[in-house]
Parts: sequence; structure tokens; C-alpha cells
Amino acid sequence: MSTYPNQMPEPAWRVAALLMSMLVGTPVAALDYQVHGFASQGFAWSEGNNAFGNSRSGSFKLYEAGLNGSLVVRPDLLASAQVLVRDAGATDNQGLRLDYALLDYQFLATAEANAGIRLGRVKNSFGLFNESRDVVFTRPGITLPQSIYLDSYGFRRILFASDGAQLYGGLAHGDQYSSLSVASSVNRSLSKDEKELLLPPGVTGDINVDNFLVARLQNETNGGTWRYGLSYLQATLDLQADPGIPFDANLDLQLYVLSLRHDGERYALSAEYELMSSRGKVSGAPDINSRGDGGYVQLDYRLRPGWTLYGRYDASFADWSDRDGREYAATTGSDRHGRFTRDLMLGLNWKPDAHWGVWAELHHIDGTSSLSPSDNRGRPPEDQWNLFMLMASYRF
Amino acid sequence: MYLSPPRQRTWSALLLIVLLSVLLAATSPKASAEDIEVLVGPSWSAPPPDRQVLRAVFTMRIRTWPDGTPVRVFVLPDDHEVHGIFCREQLGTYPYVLRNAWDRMVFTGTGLAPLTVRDEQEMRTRVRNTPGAIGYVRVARPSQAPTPSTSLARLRPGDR
Repeated sequence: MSTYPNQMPEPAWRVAALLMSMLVGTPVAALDYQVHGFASQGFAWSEGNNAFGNSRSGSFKLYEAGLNGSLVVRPDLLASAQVLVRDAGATDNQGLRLDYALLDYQFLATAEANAGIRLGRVKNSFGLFNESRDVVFTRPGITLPQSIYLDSYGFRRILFASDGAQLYGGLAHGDQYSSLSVASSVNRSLSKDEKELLLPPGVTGDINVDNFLVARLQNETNGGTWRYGLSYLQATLDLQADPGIPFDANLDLQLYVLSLRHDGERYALSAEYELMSSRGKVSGAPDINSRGDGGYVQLDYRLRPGWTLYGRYDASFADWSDRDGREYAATTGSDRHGRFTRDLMLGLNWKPDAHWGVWAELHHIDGTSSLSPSDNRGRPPEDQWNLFMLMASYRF
Repeated sequence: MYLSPPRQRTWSALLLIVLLSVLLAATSPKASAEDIEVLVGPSWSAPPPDRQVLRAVFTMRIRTWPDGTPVRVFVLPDDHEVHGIFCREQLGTYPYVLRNAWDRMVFTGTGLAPLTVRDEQEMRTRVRNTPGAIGYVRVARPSQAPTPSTSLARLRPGDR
């Protein structure tokens, strides 16, 4: 079992070797390529609970920076890679990592239909925003809706990218374009930071992710003014506790997401709903068979060129039949607020030009299910709390 | 079918979102009075591209023309008036929607961004000199033509 979960696995090395051998036969001057990148620095300030570091005293532990390149090896073969460095308080301290590295072979490319396969580390098409969640310009605010994208719930690594293969294709018919993407991944282990979010207190060990599959069926109108889709993800989490800790678990996860996006002249509406089903065994405890759900609706309003006002209501529930957590509290004696999160947010974005962007967001949050335990060690959580965030970003 | 109160709220919320979307659908792009001419380079040999081809090309979905030449897409800046007219009239979308689509490709390694030129003069120059190029410019509509149309201009080497 690898202790460096972000080291490129063997299939990726083979793909890289294949690419090099193809490049050797191609004159370098004739190849078309592009380089892009971004750098974002955030600030979080909260009252009540901590997020992104010690935000109750103001925290700058939120930054993301990446550099990528794409090379057109042949008209039907694209090679791309991105390196990323990210810090998100205690939920992400991994530093520099390989974000994606892939070969994209498009074997069908006409205006009516296209299809291809991507090999390597590929970003998962899941919901509206998963693929490009690390770039603030391509996500719906400084923060992603937690009900769908589960950053703070410890599922980031599972959702984000697959080390394996992705099949994709689409059909254009009239004003519509329908696409399907399916990806599978080799088995992998979670990092130390991710394990901290998922493991109960006092338990250490390894978590492996296998049986991974992610798929998205999407329909777009008019090049994207309407998008709606259905996404599916499954994974089996296998926890092997360290010797001496009698705690093993095996959990089958299934996520279903319904997505809708409409872009108008001045308005944009985004809404998604997710159902998460977990089934499995945990040693020394009753079998798990639970359903949680959540969703958000966000409205963006373009006040004037370069200025966008946005508002979001994002709610997630550990158990869809016990949304206020009262049954759970009655059965277990734990605080009911740990079973849900309701986040009402207002934000403002300014893009002075094509390269720069500044964001400000104010969140009022009821519930503690999305709190990061590592950012809030040693203090009881506050049921309701407020979070103010700023972010400045540059892209090229 | 009985639904518990929390499920009723979920369904009500979903219904509200669908209704809201239908209301917002009233803000679809409107055609303008200008003519946008699609420009292609001297080596173009196919019929004029229809809307489906234009969409596939300008959303960077296809990287080659049927004859195997790489597609080279040129666009004006996002805030350029002619770019806005082209997006609405020819593609049925908005500049920021296209920009989001290009960004998604660029930051997932699944496509290249189009090349942005400064103005229509540079657009003509670049399209003329690049094999497989496609772009667009504004032209004055002839006074006898009642409705906007897609016309195709093939730039010859001596064209201004």
C-alpha cells in the first residue's frame, strides 16, 4: 500500500512512456500547444466555528495555484497535464500534486457526433462543477455547494479525479447536444488529510477506494444556455485500522445527482440535488444502511459588465428521513446539529478584466455536519455560525 | 402517494426551481440587425458551415476539419460588441457562457482555448494567413435584405 497516494500509479507511467515515444517521431516545431495557469489567495473570517484554518482569528490558509499545458500531438490526440498546489486549512495540506495528466484520443469528431477516450489521471465529470472545482473562475463562488461536492465531508479525493480511463461521447441534434461520460479508476488509498475527515476520533488506519465508477449524462441547448444532467458515482471504502485498534469498516457508497443550469442575458440559475446511499458494515456496530441527501439553488445576477451578485441556499442532511436530527439525538444522545448543514450565502464578484477576479461571500450557517474536525479541535461546535470570505485570483 | 412533510418540502422546492427556470427562459438571446460574416481561410473547400458546425467549432468540440486540417478558431475579446452579436445571433448563446465552456476545457486538459484577436482587422489578417482558420466579422447588411443571414467569406491571399 502506497504511503504517497498522489504518486502516479503504474498505468500513468506507461501512458507517459507511450506519449514520449510518439513525440520522438514528430517534429517539435510543428506541434500546437497552450499553457495556462491560475493563482488564488483567499481569506476567511468567522464567528462560532473555524473553517480553512483558525478563521475565528482570520485565516489566509486558503490558496490554490496551478499550471497546465496541452499539446496537440496529432489532430486526434491531445496530451495535457496540470500541477496544482492547494491549501484549505486543515482539510488540505498536501501541497504540490499532479492534478491531471492524460492522453485524449478522439476517434470520432464530426459536428453531429464526437467520441473519445482519455487515459491517465482524468477529472471526473460529475454534476455541473466537479471537473473544474479548483479554479475559482469556473466554480460558482469561493466555496462549492457542500451538499453536492462534499469538500468538507472528506470525499474530495474520491470525487475529484480518476486514475484510469474515461470514455466520452456526444450527439448534436438540432439545438441540443447530449453527452455521456463514464470513468473508472484503479484502486487507490486516501491521504492523511482525507482520512482525518472520515475516520472517527481515535481511529487510525488506511482507507482504500475501489469499485469506482463515475458517469454523467448531460443535455445542453444552444451551446450551453440550458444544461441539465444526471450524474452517478459509486465507490467502496475499505477501512483497515492499524493493528491494535479493533475497528474495520467496509462501506458501499452511491451518489446520484440531478443538475440544472440556465444562463440568461443577466441571470444564471444553478440547482442540483444529490442523494447519497451508504451501505456497509462497521465492526462492533449495527450494519449501516442510510440515505442522506441535499441540494442547493443559486442565482447569479449580472449587475453591470464585470460585476455579478450571487446568492445561494445550500442544505445537506445526513439522513433524509430525519432532516432536523431530532430522532438521531433521541436515539444516541448526540447533538442533532451535527446531522445537517443549512448555508445561506450572499456574494459579490468583480472581474476588472480577462485575467483578474475578486470575490466576497458572507455565509450564515445553521448546523455543524460540514465542519472540519481538524480545524475545530478541542472546542465544542456552535450550532449556528457566520463565515465571511474573500478571494483574489489571476488566470492566464 | 403519501409523502412525509420533509419529502413534500423537497418536491416543492424542486418544483419551484423548475418554475423559476421556465420564467427565466423568457430571457433567451434575440437576433440583431447586423450581419455577421463567418470568415474562413483560402484553403476552405466545403460548403458554408451551418449552425451545428459553428457550434461544434466555437465550443471547441471538434479539433479537425473533415479533410484532416486542424481547426484554428479565432475570436474577438469577450466584451467586444461584434463578439456579443456573433454569440447571440449565430450560436444562440452569450459570451460568458462560451467563456465558461472554454475555461472548463482548458482547466481539465480536454481542449484548447480559441485564439483571441484584438480587432476585426487583426481577425482578417490572421484568418487569411492560417490554414484551417475560422473567425467572424461584422458587415453592413445590404439594404434590400430583410433578415439577417449567415454568409461565408473566403479570404484570398490578396484580400485587404
